[in-house]
Amino acid sequence: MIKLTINQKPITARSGQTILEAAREAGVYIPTLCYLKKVSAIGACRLCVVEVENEAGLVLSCQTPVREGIVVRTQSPALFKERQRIMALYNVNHPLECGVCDKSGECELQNKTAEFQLSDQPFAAKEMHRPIEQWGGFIQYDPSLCILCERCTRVCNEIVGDNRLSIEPGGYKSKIAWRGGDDNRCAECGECMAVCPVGALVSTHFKNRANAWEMKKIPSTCAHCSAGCQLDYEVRYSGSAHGSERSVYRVSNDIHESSLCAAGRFGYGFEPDGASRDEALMRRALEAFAQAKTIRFTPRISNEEAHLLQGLKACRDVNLVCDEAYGFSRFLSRYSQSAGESLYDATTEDVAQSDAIVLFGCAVVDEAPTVRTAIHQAVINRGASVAYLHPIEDVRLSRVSTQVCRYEVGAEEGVAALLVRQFVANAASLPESLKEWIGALDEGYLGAESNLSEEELEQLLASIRRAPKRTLVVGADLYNHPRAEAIATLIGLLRRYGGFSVLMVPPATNALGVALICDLSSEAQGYTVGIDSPGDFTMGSLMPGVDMVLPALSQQEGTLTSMDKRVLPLNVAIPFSGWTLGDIFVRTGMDLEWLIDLTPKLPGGRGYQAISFDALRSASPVGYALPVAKLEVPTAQPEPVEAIGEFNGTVVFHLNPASHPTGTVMRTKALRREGELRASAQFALAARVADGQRVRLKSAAGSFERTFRVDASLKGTIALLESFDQLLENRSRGVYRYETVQIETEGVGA
Amino acid sequence: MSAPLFSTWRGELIDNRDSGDRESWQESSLKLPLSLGDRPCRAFIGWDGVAIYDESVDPVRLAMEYAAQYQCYSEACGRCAPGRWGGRILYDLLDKIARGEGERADLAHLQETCSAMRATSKCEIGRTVPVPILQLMEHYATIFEQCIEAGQKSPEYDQEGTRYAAHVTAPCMDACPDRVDIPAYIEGVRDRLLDESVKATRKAMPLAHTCGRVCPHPCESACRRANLDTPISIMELKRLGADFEADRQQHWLHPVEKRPEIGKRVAIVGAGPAGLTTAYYLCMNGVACDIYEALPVPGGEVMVGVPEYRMPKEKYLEDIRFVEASGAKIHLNTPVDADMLRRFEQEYDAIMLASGTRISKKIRCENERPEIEGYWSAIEFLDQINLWEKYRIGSAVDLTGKTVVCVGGGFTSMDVVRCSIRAGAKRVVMLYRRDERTIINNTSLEEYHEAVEEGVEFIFHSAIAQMVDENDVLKEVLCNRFEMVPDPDGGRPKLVKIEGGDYTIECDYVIPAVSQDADLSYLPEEWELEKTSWNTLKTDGKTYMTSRPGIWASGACEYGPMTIVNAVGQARRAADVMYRYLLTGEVKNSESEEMEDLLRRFRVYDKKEAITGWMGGLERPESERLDVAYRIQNNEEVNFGLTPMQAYAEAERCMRCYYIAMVAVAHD
Ligand SMILES: Cc1cc2nc3c(=O)[nH]c(=O)nc-3n(C[C@H](O)[C@H](O)[C@H](O)COP(=O)(O)OP(=O)(O)OC[C@H]3O[C@@H](n4cnc5c(N)ncnc54)[C@H](O)[C@@H]3O)c2cc1C
Ligand code: SF4
Ligand code: SF4
Ligand code: SF4
Ligand code: SF4
Ligand code: SF4
Ligand code: FES
Repeated sequence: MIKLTINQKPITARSGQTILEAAREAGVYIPTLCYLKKVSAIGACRLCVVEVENEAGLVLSCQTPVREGIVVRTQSPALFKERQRIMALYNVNHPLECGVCDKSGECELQNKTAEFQLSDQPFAAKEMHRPIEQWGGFIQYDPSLCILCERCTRVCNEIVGDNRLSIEPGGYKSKIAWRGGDDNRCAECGECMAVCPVGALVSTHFKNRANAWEMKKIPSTCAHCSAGCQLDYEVRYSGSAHGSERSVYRVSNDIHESSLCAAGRFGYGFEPDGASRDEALMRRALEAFAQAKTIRFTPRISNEEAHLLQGLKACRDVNLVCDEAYGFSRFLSRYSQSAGESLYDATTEDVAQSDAIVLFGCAVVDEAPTVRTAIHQAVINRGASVAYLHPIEDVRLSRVSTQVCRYEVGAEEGVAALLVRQFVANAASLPESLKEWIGALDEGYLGAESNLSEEELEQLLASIRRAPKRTLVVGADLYNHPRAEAIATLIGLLRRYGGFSVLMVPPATNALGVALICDLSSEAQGYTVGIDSPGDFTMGSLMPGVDMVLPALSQQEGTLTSMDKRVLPLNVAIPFSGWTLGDIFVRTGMDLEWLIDLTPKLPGGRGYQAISFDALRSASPVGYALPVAKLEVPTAQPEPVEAIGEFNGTVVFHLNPASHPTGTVMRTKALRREGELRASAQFALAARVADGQRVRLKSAAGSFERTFRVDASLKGTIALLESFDQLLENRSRGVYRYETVQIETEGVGA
Repeated sequence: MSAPLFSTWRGELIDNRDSGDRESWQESSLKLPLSLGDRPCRAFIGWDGVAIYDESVDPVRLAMEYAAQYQCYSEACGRCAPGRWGGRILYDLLDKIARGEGERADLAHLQETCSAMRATSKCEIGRTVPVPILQLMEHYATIFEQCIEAGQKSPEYDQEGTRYAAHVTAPCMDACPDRVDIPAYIEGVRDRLLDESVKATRKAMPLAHTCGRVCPHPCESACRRANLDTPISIMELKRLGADFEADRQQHWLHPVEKRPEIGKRVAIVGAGPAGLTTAYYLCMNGVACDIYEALPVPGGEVMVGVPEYRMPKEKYLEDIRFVEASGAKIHLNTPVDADMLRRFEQEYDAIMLASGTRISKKIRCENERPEIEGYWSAIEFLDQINLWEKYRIGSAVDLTGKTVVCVGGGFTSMDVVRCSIRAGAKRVVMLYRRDERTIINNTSLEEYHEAVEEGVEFIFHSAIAQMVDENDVLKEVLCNRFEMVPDPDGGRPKLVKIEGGDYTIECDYVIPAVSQDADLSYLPEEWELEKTSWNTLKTDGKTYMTSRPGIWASGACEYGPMTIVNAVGQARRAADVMYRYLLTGEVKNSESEEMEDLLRRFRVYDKKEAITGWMGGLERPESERLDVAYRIQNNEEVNFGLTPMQAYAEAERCMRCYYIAMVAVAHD
């Protein structure tokens, strides 16, 4: 701890903290424009200067670390004068036409101008006509409003990891250059826009639609993936013919602490129409439930809803079928048995703190944006090694990956076995049987069939040698692999003996909650109630044409279990006027006032705690974490590795882009579009398809059409198939993510 | 020493405007630059002051031109508010005054803008540009006022007679023999943009891995941060960018795009740092280069001299592959002889001699006969070790149970003794004529420490007087002891032999590592290339062309054994001159090269300067090293380099001391 004095107030700070951070923590105000807590010090605005006793001149507080015994002054007439001079310079070429600016009311430049009592523009202003630029689909950049604070460039590099932004120098004409179009590598996440202190970056969706002060913020948890990002739905009533209606105008977040991806930020407004509290409808629903042999649902339900369903299963024999979570739940329980722990142990934060990261079967950039950010942090702050084990190389990881191992599609079990041999073989206290199993591995065969060379494995081993903290991240390629459980056993051994922490990326929003709370079955049988899933009686908020409309995740109170094993609260952003699942259970005689009364009653055996819903939001950080318990289990004996099957012909990989993780986006205005088939030029040549051409894909699961795109960032012969728009039709749910297809172009509509 | 008309440089106010004839002018105690190349200077203006040498200089125009330079510079940067906008305002207002349209209020505006820039600019360049401008406004107030009051143009406003040549420098850059853009690559680290960092390094230094590891960093002795607390760890910060490129699946990060071929070819003798550098910058300019190397491995002394534990072969190979990626062709196992050179002169458009100094000098003691078994020249000893350890060529050196005495005091001797430890020697002695401080100066503190830790016995103030053999087998050495006697005239202390202080050391090997000579026997005699008195190739030290047109020389064979960065600096300069020669046939330095030399003579770093605007008391970090007991048994790299967090904190300490220097000279 370091002791210092700020404005005569004694303060303690941590070594390495900056003067600004120490001051903020102590509640002392220092004006800033460019400072952004979650990235490294920028030092562009110069407003944060302070006086330090016995040091000549002014010291930049955002970049200067605290030193024992210093005496700091943050306010003085001289400082005021300097800051005022800086603000005067800022206003030189910033048109003060706030009346027409979207940012007005929440513009940091506007605030600072007022704070330093500047009304006129003292120095000659240069008129400049500067065209507004469009950065991808959702973001607009106005260089004449840009104050070059560099927040946007920092987040794009340090948080998102795309590094698509840079300063284009030119004195007065300096601006931010966007290189997103090049190879389609801008994630269009809107992070840059979110952190912009002025109105230079705005969303085309939000533009001129509302003023900041008219909106109310409803904190909640993002509904789109398992990361569980915290966000605010900014809602507003708007007058309409039918009276006043509340709608989400925008999604925002605490820009200093957290980030959102494109889905989280732009994917709002997915609430269903047509909800009603019609009694006849309720009767039909009750009937359906009474005769149901199967409830088939998506994991995009709350923990409490899952708990209700599990309750139903407990009191009468119904099958709970959740295709998207089933493989994962089996994988998880096998893993627990093998690792000897109730859950995977790592969190995103562990990834950020790692010295070595191995990614296996996880297309992390699209599958888990928050993990990608954590990887960047680990690389930037700790120089972590990053090995990407996947059949398809991802150029977006080229700034971080130290090694890329492209194994053959289908070879995941072989790869896992080789990893066990490489990382576990020399572990102390290895059971004899395991030694024998390792000894019996046919390394030559596995290496050759999986296309993982001895050198690659050696390099992997070398990369963790001086890495005290190692994390293995696994993803959805594994959960529905035909040999998923065998693979889970091996991953468990890597945890138990290989010195790895393990993080699993759950395949969908609340897939972890559902996997923990429900005993799932594999097959739907008999009369089926489908919740956003096919069935004899259907209900839900996402699937079009359901019998009964249920509230969306933005319309209910409840909790989700995130990838980081945290229980996180959902709030009502938009009121819901129809029946809920809870209503149905109440009608059947359940004693339940609010669904969230179930929050403290979630199964304790799975780590849920008796904490009330209301306590979750006030906790810091929000929610609570499920503990990872040690289990007394014998070491799982891995099965003999099966022969590696071959994937020949045209292979597609079912992968949704980060901006479109689920079918939910099809209900939003900004993100709704048809999924595409994307592949390298090499693929196009081999499959004889051209960019922009309509193609028909035929596979075991049926046939459908897509538009084909050549993607310059892709290499190799596997195509990416986006299927978010078909998720609700049950395609690609719960199946191995790679598939052999036939591609036809003849007779396909233009 | 000279007497300017007026000077404010380094706090020394000289004003001879009313001092009558030149004879009675007050002299400056500084080495103010008097000429740029062969053109006399009329004024010298920069970060700390302004000197004017004759009455005809127009102070308003001078101030305006200086501001214009900054305006251009900040156009290219634009990364802080005061600099970006202040620079423009400064120039606009000064130009307005100079063209006779100024108003009184403009002077106040200028003052105001200057003080904003001085107090809060991000880089020293923004903070210092106002300094000489304010000085001119103060000391030449009447001329400024005349322009305003009379609405007159300043005296030389429309005249073309004067050329203003400007150059951006920094104290550390000026002291780097290769003028690496240090603040830029440190900024890349600070910004977490390591690709930008390595690109900035490679603008002047293709061997980024190498100079991020084993450069003796003369720049650090001229780091302004030392005036506040401790110098920036300039050298180690370079390694991050290079490692990023190598470790993170990056393509080669060239600082600029390669230019199209210009149809010229250059032959280069020697694939050491000088040869590689020449090739890199010529190739990037579209010149085809062939490098001929006698050894079976590329890299020169850095490959076969510098051991693996200091400079891992794989990392050096990254640098070499990077050079090859520019298109350079390296022909190994190709010793160049006189006939080949004669042919090259016909076949190529120019030749670079970069053959180094690969002959160990003798100790010059009695009975120093190479045929004595146990006499081993440092270069041959290290060749054998490195070729074996790095390439498995030849055979290993095994010194188990042996005693080694090395005579030296520079890099080479350090490597000899530390390699001897690793080769299992029982006792390793380093004999040095001078003291500990000098050895540290010659090498580096870190390196000296590491050697001591590893068990090398240092004996100072000693020299071998005689080798003692039995039937041509070394038995022992007889040593004299010296003492340092201070020179009453303040010169370098003299070494005086202590009578009766002699002693002997029983040993199996004596390794002379005193210095090296160039082997120039491969040159055609009839070329009669001029040599220096140390038998190296003579050039003018500015263009690096030898006495024979079209033949250049750089690196150790020109300068004598020095450092990598010295060789690279010479070779890069030479490559630029050669490129222009290939285009125009002229052998001439550019203005910016002349400015470099001018500033180096003046010396940019001022160790007495007081620093403002930064909080001191922050120490430089130390990188983690391999444990001694472990490292002496192998060749693994000893220094892990700074951790990212250490590096960022270190980069935050760098004050970005860019300065603009400008001279006014008569137009030619
Ligand atoms: C043991 C040792 C340690 C050192 N450590 C450091 C250090 O830590 N830091 C530092 O900055 N400097 C160090 N130096 C100095 C540094 O190595 C030299 O300054 C640098 O290598 C000089 O580069 P060069 O290209 O001029 O010559 P060299 O590196 O010597 O390269 C010359 C090349 O030319 C080849 N050659 C010569 N004649 C012919 C011919 N006729 N035909 C073809 N090829 C020929 C040689 O084989 C050689 O490869 C060290 C030197 C030694 C010997
Ligand atoms: S939208 Fe995201 S990826 Fe694109 S430039 Fe902005 S921050 Fe970078
Ligand atoms: S666009 Fe916004 S965030 Fe980016 S530099 Fe300009 S003002 Fe700052
Ligand atoms: S989709 Fe996932 S990563 Fe994106 S904001 Fe929502 S929870 Fe976060
Ligand atoms: S502080 Fe930075 S810019 Fe200044 S001399 Fe030192 S290294 Fe160079
Ligand atoms: S090359 Fe050497 S002298 Fe030059 S900057 Fe780098 S460390 Fe300093
Ligand atoms: S907050 Fe420190 S410079 Fe902007």
